[in-house]
Amino acid sequence: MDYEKSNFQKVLEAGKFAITAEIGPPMSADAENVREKARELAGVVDAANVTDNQTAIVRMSSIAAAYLSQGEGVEGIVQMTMRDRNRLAMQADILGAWALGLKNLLVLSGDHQTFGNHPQSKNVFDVDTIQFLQAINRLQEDGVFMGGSKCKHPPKFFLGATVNPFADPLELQVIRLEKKIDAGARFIQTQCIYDLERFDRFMDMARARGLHERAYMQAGIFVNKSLKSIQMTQLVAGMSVPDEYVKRFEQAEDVQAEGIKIAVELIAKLKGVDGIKGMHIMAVGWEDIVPEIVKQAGFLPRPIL
Amino acid sequence: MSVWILGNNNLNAEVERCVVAAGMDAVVADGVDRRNAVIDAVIITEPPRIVALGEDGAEYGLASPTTNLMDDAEVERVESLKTNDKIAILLDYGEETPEYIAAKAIRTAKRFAGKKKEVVFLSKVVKCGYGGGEQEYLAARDAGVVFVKYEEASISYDEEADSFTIKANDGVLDMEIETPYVLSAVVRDIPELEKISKKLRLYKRADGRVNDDRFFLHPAFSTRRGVYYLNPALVAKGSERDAVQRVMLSVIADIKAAAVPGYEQEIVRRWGIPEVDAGKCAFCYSCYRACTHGAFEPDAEASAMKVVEGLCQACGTCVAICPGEAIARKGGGDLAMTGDVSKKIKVYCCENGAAEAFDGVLPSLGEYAGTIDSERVACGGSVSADILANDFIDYDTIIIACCIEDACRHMDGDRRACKQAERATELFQKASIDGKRAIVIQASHAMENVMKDKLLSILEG
Amino acid sequence: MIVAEQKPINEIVDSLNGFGRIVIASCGTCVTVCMAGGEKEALAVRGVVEADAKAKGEDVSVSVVNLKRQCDDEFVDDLEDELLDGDVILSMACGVGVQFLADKYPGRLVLPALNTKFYGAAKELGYWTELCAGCGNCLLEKTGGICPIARCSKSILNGPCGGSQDSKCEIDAEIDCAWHLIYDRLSELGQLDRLNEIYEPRDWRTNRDGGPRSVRKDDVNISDSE
Repeated sequence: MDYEKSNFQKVLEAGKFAITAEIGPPMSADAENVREKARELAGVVDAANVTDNQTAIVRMSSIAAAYLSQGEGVEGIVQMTMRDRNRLAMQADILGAWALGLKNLLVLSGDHQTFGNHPQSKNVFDVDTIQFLQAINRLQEDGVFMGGSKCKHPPKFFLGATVNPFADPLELQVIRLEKKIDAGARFIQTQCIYDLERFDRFMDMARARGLHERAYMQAGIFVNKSLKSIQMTQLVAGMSVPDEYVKRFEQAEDVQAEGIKIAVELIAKLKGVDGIKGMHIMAVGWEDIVPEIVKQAGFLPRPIL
Repeated sequence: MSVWILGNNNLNAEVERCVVAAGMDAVVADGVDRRNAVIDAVIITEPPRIVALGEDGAEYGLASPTTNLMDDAEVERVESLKTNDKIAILLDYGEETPEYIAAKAIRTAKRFAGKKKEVVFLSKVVKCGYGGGEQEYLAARDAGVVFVKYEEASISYDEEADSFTIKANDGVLDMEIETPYVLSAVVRDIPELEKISKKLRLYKRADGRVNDDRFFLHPAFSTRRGVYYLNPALVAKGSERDAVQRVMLSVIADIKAAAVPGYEQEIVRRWGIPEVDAGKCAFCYSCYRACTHGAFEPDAEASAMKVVEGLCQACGTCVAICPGEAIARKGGGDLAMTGDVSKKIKVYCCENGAAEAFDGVLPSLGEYAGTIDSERVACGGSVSADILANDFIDYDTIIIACCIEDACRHMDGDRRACKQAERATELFQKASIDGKRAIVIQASHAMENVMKDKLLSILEG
Repeated sequence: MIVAEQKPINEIVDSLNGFGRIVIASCGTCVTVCMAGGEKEALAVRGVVEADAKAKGEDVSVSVVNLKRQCDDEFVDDLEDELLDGDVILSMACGVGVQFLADKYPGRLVLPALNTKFYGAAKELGYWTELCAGCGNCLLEKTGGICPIARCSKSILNGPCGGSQDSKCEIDAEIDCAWHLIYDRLSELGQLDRLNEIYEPRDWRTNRDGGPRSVRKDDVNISDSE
């Protein structure tokens, strides 16, 4: 079946430095909320991640929100966690997502439901991210569902996964990254980076295995709006935030300006790292600052391919 | 009778005075040279620091515990060592270090390494296969502890320099470490060890190894009669003399009692030795693990635990802890309760000290004396929550009078008593049954005033 | 072994309200070892129930029957008379024992005193942790003897997730990250290359997901109904 590749995929394959951001769907059925957020990002990013019940808090589904976003001209990257759906539901969802014109899919484990607003729920975890990537890859290449039956009209998602260079033990995270790429992940987004030294060590190990040549790696950064924001970030499991950043917020006269400054600085350092093919900007709670950051970092205008 | 006082502490003078006043010989020393020792009792007045085995088998000092029972004074001493002094931790169990001990030793190593000291950890085998062991090991390694797995090691002590030299070979290299501080669980088969090992809660097994697979050489907390530890950290500054005198009354009484021939038989006569009903025993090892005297042995044929009579001190902790009620005393005398349920208050008195204080106080309680039902127990820790729960059918207030902290001969009887009392009281509160409370009073036999005050305050409301 | 914990005492007492003759049945196996439902625990519950009755001025008799096991007929048969000598049975066994008694005596109400929690073992005296999920298809050979289904909060088979830090699970610092443990274990065993394999999606039919399970040994259980 002929299909046009996603914009995100085209940008990366053309060797351009890709820029993505995030759209967090609302905790409601309000479509206009999604459209507004998408409009802000139009022309500023190559695609936008649309999160899936992030931190285990119920929000509008990623597929629905991604579809709404595409309606405003911002290509969506559908996110799918392993926490909430079994293999039947997930395969059904991606068939539907493709049918709606969505073309990018990021697969991740998902925060445990005890973190969210429905801690009482049963968690699914029928399959893990690597198993799912492999299964979807098989579906897309060979037209075979996980149960063995044939699929005449399989989707052709541009598949991606995440990696956390700040979790322990580091070596195991790199092994797992390789497995994700073996399983079919073509683009990789990292957990937000503050600790550049640790990130360098991670990239050394990743490059040693040639992973940077097998998948497009995007460096993730977070944009903090306030001292409280960066303090909270420091507490998140799996995040590594050196104290110097917190100090900068403590001492800054204009915290918001400092937040932007730090983000732009990090971007400048990260875009030169060998193996990094794009940035993923997470401005949670401050999405409207993304255009400014992309502009200050010198990434405008975005390529039209 | 010869009482050895070990430790470098300003309490020694008062301790010595008490011993002599009681008509016994006092020997104050830094260590025990067991070749020539006549020892009836040992009183330790500071955490033992070092062990060194000279080539002639003599011993200087006592083995130090590498468990988390290291107290503040000991930690301070380590911290006061110069930064370029190495600290060596030496584990030698012949073949294999029990995991429990290895884990604790490693934790100790990490703790000191964290205080910017150079810590070298020598062991024949470092086995951390169980649960937390591996993390402990890696954490210690990350904190800078140098691990050496040696094939052969020996240690010698230079008295003048007050320094140890450890020579070790790891199969490839020879190394020599000089250090003023060694934490050791070195246990060697020395004939002279027999005498003091009886005091120090060790006994040799047929294969020559010393039985310390649960609590290794830990004289500071020996639960055998004959070894006492005066914990200097518990003594408030300025009241050392009083504190020592108070504690020494119990200690002297104890030493004298133990010197009476037939003392061990006395225990049996009074309390009865516990016996395990093999049919009820779930072989869960709870008694084995809880017993601080090492008095249990598995009987594979019967698939049940067996009490080792020579070591059992009849404290009753096992009876209290056995979840299957499979252990009961046999052959004890009649020190049973008065069972007078017209009384609303029941007091369990631990015979290590609190009982005497209670007996002394009872007559002076006036009108309250008639409302109290009392029972002697070997150890406050043997009063379990289920006993309390059933007592609460008839009594409203139950008091467990037991030893002061660190005085329990069975290690943690006072803490067990507190936990069980808490549990029983909570159980009834949660069941919304009013007016039931289990309270612990800690007093030694010389603390009648304390006993009286606390009793009165409970009785009065 | 099966590890259980006693229900909150007020729940137990409330559930026994209205019954005049209560039989408490303790169990001498797993729940004795994990100190939840053995004879000792049964005696404590009896104490509370009787004290409660006395405080309310009610006439309640409570007896304790100690069964070595509550999941095999022969052990129960032996003490049947004592078990049925009351209006209700409070079973201090795990969920298996409670149901076994209830199935055996359908006319008699059998109440649970415990919350059955998991298959696990003691790390030290008085502390038990979950080790086995009863998944029906053991994969311990692949993970150096550490089960990711039971011990990873997300049951990830190609782990860990990104939340593993300082070897602890993101959801609770008391919980070891199972994959960190597996990594260390495989290192020690010289089997780190196992981590390069991708474990295929699991067939959960062997787990509870395939419906309630049973095991039959038909060389022993010779049935005429073929």
